[in-house]
Amino acid sequence: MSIYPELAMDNNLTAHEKIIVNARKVAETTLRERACLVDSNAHFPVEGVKALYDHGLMALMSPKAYGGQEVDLGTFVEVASILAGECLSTALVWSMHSQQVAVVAQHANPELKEKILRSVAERGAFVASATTEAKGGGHILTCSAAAEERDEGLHIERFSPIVTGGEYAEWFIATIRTSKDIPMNEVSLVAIHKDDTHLVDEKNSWNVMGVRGTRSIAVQLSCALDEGDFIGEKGKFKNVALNPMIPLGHIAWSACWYGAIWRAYKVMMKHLREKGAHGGADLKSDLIAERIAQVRLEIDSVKAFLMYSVAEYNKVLDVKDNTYDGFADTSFNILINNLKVMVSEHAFTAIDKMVQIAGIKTGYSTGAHIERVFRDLRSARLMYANDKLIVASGKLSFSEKTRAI
Amino acid sequence: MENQEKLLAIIKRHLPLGSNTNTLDMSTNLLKMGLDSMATIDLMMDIEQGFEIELPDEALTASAFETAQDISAYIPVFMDSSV
Repeated sequence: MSIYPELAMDNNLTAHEKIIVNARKVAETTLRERACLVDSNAHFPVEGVKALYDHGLMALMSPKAYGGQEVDLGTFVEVASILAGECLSTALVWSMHSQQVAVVAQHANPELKEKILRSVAERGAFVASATTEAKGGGHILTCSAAAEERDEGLHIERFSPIVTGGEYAEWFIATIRTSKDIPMNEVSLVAIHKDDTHLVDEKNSWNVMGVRGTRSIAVQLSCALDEGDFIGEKGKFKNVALNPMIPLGHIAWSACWYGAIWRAYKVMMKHLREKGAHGGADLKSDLIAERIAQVRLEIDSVKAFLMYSVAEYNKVLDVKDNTYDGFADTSFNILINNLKVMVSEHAFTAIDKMVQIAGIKTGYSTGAHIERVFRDLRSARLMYANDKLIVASGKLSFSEKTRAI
Repeated sequence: MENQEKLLAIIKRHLPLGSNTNTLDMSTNLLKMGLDSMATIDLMMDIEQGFEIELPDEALTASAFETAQDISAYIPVFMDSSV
């Protein structure tokens, strides 16, 4: 008997098929029904997250030993794309939660895993990331927030200006330094429970153009820390960031953006055929054909880069040589940066072209599916800003081992 | 000694503001001084320019930039014992 009330239990389906059936069910019911409300009210998708939990999807990246589904990257990407097709906000919220779950599963000590991963499996606890800082510029490998020694032990006061789903998180995975006297790049990762936090966004200032349901708000973390709260080795957050946090994050976002444009494309094509059938658009015109082909080219390019990156990630996982750390490899890191940059740019180009083809009523009117995806995807280049990633990739290229050609 | 001073002077330029560079010597752990991965790449290029060399592929690792001593192993002028 599953602990998840709505989990598809058809015994004729493989484990992978059951997950996909459940993802489609959540997407085509709750997410489809709630997407407009989540967007118009800029509300965290509480109902969507509950539906994801009911269908066993909140613990998708958690090990089976902790009540999770322990899926491979391909399945994770497929689910993210399906969810994003109906509501990009919910899919992004879910994918960032899943990224943190994967980090805990891979790097936390057994006691911490038991606490966090059990709460995810048994209650659908939401796990948020708190790596942003007021002056950090989003560079997660450095951190100014530092703990201090007090009578009762180590204490951290940390302000995070942007925490997706901060109001609804049960756990916060935060970067800190263990002392103000150590360098900014000696970063540690800790888990902090919601009881040790308070929200500082009292003016409810979250009012953005798109992905409005992600509700990225400011949070103040304030608590005593003990040894068991650390995830991975103290001061060695870079190891966690390189494997799996950063690559998994960029792949997850890219999967969401791909899912959003693929579904928008299908909505657009359905609309065009309906319109054509009733004497509207001339579907036989070369102009329409060329424009559709251009959109399809963007979408297929995005999909190809995404699938290639998943394959490269799996290749790194498969390397059995202990002396080689593929996740730290410069070429792999450039590839993953480029994935994020490429998909965020081309996904927006695709949806922009779709607005042009669909026209004012279907493509540009409030409440239209394509219009919402257009606003949502404008955020893609801003989330972990492309400008920063491009500069990083350019610099990394000088340290790539390609000199002996 | 002249080359050591030259190397340490180049390194100092890439350490974060506020670092205690007075204690910097050939065996100082540069990571512990706050040298991050992006600064390491800038440092690498300045060393190549300063010593008019091209560092080999083997030097393009984090461990090769752990200390000035480690870096010097890839700079030809340091291979001569008279430095």
